[in-house]
Amino acid sequence: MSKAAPRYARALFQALQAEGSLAASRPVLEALGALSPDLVSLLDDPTIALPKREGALRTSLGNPGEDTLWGRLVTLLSRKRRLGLIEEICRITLEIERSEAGVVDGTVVSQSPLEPAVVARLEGDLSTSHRKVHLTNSADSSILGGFRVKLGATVLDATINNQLQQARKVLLSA
Amino acid sequence: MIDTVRPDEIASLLKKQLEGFAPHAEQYETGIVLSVGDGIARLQGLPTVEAGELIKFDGTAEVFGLVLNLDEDNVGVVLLGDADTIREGDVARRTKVQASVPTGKGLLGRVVDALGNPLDGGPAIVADEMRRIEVKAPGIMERKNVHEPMQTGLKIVDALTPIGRGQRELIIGDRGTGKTAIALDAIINQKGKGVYCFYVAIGQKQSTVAQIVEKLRAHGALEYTTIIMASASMPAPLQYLAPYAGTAMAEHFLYNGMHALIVYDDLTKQSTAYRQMSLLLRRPPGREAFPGDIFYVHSRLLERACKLSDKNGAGSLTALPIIETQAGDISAYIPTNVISITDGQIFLEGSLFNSGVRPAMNAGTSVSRVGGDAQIKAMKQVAGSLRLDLAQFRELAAFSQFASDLDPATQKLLARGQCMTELLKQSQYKPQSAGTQVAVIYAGANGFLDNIPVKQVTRWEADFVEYLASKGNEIPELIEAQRAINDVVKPKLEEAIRSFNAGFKA
Repeated sequence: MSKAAPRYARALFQALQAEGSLAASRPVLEALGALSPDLVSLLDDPTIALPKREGALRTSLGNPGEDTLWGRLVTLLSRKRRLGLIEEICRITLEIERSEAGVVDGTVVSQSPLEPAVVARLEGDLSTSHRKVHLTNSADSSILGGFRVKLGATVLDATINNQLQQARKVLLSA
Repeated sequence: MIDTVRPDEIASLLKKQLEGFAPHAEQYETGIVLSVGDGIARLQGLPTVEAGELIKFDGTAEVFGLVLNLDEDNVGVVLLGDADTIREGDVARRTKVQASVPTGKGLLGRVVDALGNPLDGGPAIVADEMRRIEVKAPGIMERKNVHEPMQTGLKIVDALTPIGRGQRELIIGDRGTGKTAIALDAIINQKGKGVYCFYVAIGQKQSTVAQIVEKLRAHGALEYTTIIMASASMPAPLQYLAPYAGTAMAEHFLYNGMHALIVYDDLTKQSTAYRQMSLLLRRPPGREAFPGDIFYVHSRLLERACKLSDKNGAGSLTALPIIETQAGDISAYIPTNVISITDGQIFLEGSLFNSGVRPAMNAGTSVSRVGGDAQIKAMKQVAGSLRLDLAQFRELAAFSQFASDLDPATQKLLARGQCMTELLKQSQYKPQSAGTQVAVIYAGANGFLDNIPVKQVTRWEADFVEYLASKGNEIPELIEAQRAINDVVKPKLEEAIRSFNAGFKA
């Protein structure tokens, strides 16, 4: 991860918030935040002339005017030769937005896909007044039963595998 | 036999062992390995991990790491096991446990690694308690002055650089000058004195440690000794941790009103291991490429050796750190650091060792800053004149080759110095009691050996020690009981020496 991208993202988030266009800009942020690595490397490719790369990015943004926020951002990135950071900047801006709104993204892994109602119940149980948990469910056949939730660096392990490990420890220490 | 084992019996046994076990969802914090190599891993995540905390890697083998660097965007971890099993992208989890080791009498007679795991093929360690490897040294109010002798059994050390219980006395010298020998003699001499010993072998060959274990066993010293081994083939973090682990094990005795002795053999290799770790963790190098906190590494270790006040149980922990010098250079970085931290040093010289003076202690540069408080009065009485004799001898030693041209007084001083130098020689693994030492030095310092040829002094000393032990005259015991050369001891001691001299054929 670039060290500069979070600084640009924080600045973009604050500018969009001040301008009141955060919600309107979300589709653009999502689209640019999901740019393919090939496109990102093209934006950074020194064999392509800088005005051409800048023009490509402007076109993808719908040719914003020089006096608009997005227009000024592209000019700045072009001047600093950091056009390739646009994908990371947009992704982090979205993360900042979710974080400011108290939304925490996480994953729940289980033996087979969980019913949406079960995921929703888990989200409700893990959410508090200050944070709203949003979970993505995935399946892992190595899990014997139960589930494992990962929220950032924190893991809540309620799998049968983990409980068997606990029983093993008890038996070994007996 | 197999027919007699019934499945229901096994099931009931398992059920009994699992009684009270309640499975529960576990919450822990994780990090992802960004890079790994040279025994160092960098992890992303673990936002609330603490410095010095153990983390566990979820790999094929159970490998633990010790958190040393808390950077802005990653955590620097030294690996305490096989680094080959860890890959980039692996997950590591917090244990919320600071590195700690088992302690207690279950460790006596055992050889363990820096984490307290047995290395001698014996059964699992039965620990009284777990103690943290890194703890703060006791404060001033918890201590008292060092006042009890911790005899090494070596005449020259006990007379000239007395060590007290709770003291830190550095043993310093080039390789092959007898540093380990002094430490081992000190351990062997603790037999029956209620002092528990810990020998921390850092960066040594495993064969050398095996020999030391056998020597201690042969002299009956292993039963009260624990060997903590971080051999040269073990990872640098274990070599760095071993002295702290050994100290934690010894502190169990210190804080329970008992006495312990710990030998760090040697701290030079520990500093080299720490330098390696620090450079790999990209900490800025300083003098001799050591990191800036190398002094603190040794000071916080050696400050843990102390004599506790009566209120705190009056236990003691004596430390004998060993430092290896290069070509006798005590002004190098690590030697000067450790000299300034300790309460004195025993300086061993290669030239003395090669000329047959063993222990090869340089009486001029060796000091004990605790001094006479760590000696019985009798030893103080004889050591005073001994120190003077040796100092005068050193001043005149350069003229010894012109001996025949010198005046009688100078010749007498030279002869006395040579006699005392011979008298202070002592074989390895033959520690002497304080009473015996006093009797021998008294004889030399008071002219009873003036008529004995210098070449015969060693034989005289060996025979006299045997005479004191076998005759049943109880002179050493009397000296130790009276603790001074007084009107009761003096006539009997002199009579014994005269009686022995009469029968000694030079």
